Amino acid sequence: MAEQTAGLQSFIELIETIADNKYVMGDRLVEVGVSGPNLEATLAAIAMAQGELGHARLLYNWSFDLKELKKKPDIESQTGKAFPAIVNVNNWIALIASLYAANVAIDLVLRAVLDSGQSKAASRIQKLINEQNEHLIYSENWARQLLNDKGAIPSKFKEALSEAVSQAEAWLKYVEQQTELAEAGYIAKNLSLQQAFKSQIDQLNVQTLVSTK
Amino acid sequence: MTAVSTNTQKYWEALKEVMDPEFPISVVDMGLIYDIQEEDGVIDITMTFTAVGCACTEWIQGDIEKRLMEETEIRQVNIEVVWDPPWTVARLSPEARKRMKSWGVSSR
Repeated sequence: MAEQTAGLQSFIELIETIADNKYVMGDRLVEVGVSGPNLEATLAAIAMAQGELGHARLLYNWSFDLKELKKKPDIESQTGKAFPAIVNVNNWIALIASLYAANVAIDLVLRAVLDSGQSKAASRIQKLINEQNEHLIYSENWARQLLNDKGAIPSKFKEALSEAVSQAEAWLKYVEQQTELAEAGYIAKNLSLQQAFKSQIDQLNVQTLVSTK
Repeated sequence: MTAVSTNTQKYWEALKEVMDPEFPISVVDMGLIYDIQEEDGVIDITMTFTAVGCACTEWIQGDIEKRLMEETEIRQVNIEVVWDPPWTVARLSPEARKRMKSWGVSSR
């Protein structure tokens, strides 16, 4: 394996974090999504699971190439970087909250990678970004539906979203602090990932996210 | 589809015999093959798939390699998978669209 620069190490960690989240999301979309509120929702969840697992496979393989591994290992588990909110998803409300928050954050970061001008980035992730947009539309519309539902559902959803958002925000802050990523040309410079994330989440018009602390 | 040079035309024709496992339409008519280059028995294929999560990627690549290796002059097949430009239904050939339509499958 070739010696890795700080920028490359951080980029591999970034790609693995996204892959881990997609790997676990794919798993949760199957486990929880199969008990979705209606047949259409369940079918869509299973279809998205295949998409998320495919994205994870592509990103893990990219990380293997970056590590210059001669033989690509089998992918049998995540590397431990998935957000706890996603790992702990056990119901439809938490699934939608986590899927939405994580994919908004991941989309911002992958677009920053695409905008870096890094050679071959587009050939790796352009199609993934297009497909991910469909998952974003789906989860955003379900988020709106749950926020406008009756009884305890809106408050339960806000609680789940709050937890998912805080973990995604913490990751984006961490990515912004990894200055070697931009210096080495792996992501675009002068990013405002946290601000862009907050702006997008605010579009849901969630008045007050319930504190989970 | 990339412009076909005469020296690779036979390989484009050969790959018309390799079918997508989900629809009996060739990988060429599906628009999965972006480029074919051949030099000294080594053939380089640039291709894509309809979706990143396609469960048949290794299967299709195996079929492509197997078919091309049937050409006596070919001793090695290299396949590079790219995701840009992303595949859309716009890449389906007129023949593929016609067949999809006959099965009642939308290609728009």
